[in-house]
Amino acid sequence: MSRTPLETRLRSLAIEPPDDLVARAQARVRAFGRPRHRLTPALVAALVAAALVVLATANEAAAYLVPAYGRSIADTPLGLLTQPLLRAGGQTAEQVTPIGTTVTSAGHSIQLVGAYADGLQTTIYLQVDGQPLAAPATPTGKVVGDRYLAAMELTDDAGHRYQARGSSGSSVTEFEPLRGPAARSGVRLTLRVTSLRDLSVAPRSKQDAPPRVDGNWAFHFTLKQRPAVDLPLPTPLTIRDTTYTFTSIRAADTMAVKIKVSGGAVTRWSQIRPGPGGPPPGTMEPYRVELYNAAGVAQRIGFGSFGGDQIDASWVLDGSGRYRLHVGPEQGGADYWFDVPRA
Amino acid sequence: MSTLDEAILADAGPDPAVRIGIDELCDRYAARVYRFAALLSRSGPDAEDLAQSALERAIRALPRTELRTESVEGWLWRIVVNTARDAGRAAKRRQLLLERLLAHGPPETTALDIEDAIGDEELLHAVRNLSRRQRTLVALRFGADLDYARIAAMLGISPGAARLATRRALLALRARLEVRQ
Repeated sequence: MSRTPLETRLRSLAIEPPDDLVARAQARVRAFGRPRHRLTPALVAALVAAALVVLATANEAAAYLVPAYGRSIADTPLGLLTQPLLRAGGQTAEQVTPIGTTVTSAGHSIQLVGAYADGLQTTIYLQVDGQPLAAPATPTGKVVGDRYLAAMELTDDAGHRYQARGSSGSSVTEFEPLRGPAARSGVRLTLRVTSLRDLSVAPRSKQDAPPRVDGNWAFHFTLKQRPAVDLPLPTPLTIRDTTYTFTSIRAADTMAVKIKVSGGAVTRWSQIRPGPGGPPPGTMEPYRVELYNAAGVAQRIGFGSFGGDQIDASWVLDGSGRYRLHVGPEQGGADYWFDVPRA
Repeated sequence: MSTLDEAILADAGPDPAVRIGIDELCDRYAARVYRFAALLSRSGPDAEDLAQSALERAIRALPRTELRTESVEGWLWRIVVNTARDAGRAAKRRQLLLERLLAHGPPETTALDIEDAIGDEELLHAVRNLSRRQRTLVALRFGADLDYARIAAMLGISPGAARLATRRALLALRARLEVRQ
């Protein structure tokens, strides 16, 4: 059968898997285990050995090629932070403040590996019982996450309490940005983990929750908050029968955009009836927002809430530079350029 | 019995039975799984997440019995496609806008020699902007390198429909590339 040039190009696309892809998959299997009846001591030993060899090789190679990475894995607990984990929050290992304090309670040891704060988020990295840290759920949805789900609260000595905004387990939890004195100087923060749920234990019924262990794991630390900048707000935009009013655009290592929507799109949204198949075609098009870097590469969305009278989205940025925000339908929408300074 | 199982059982011929191990599984299939994920996902990090999850699931579910080589392929790609489906469902739960609900009319064909004028990155970008179903077809055909019979079994359609749908996906891709030109 003859192939078109386009088919030939697709088959020859240069797509190389990351060097550590297999090691990461095997490490997660090692962490969470395979079904008991399939495990044999020989298989476990082989799997652990293979994963350790690959991981050690990858770490040695990275340490050789990137001296800064070598220092970080040698001197701090930040070597526990994998690239997918850091990338989900838009950080690099160098931006995370290493802490490394370990507290044991109720038979479980929790290490506060590190923390990060900027004007848009405060991120906490934890390790429980020496388990590998797992990347959080992503827009494409990680199927398997952490072994443990941690309940925690973050407060500061100035009396502020910070709400957690997202967590799929214990490894990484995002809180709202620090406020008041804590945002300006090194006011002491307290992270208190109050319980752990073991997600690897299957509940006895659909109504059962995973078993919970209550404890008191308290960590005290300080953080320097990286600044977020307010970017200029465009004037209100009208596309067909829908008006978009920009209420906030801020950037740090992520870029957060809030838009109030009014008019026809909101009316059509309110008429959606629940049912299979999702919204009628075209209903969501007015709520389309995309962010591209100067090279035209779409940025990874970190959080998104679309529909009704609002668009609230954030993206993990490649770095400082120019970015293009597209609002509205692909054809007929509007584009805005922003200069994001180095944080 | 699923359509895929029936397709697997229908695989006849002198294909030797094998018992595949973790290392062999990863050596033989990791690159193809990643190609599939790279063509299906919206971004590179999402592709890594999907490929990692699919491999992890496959390692966990390694068959205890011997399978024909063809059956290994069917078993593996069923896991990979199911992982992608779960990822898609999770995406819908997390953000309603992920499925772009674009309605493309039949693209017009032109004689532009776009294949020679575009780079790999631009071609991948165009693939990632196709609808999810179109991306799935392109990823199964050109990422996983599956024939139409197996694609049909994965998607629960006839081989003819799989061929036609893939053709339409390619036309949509070409239309996008021509617009970008």
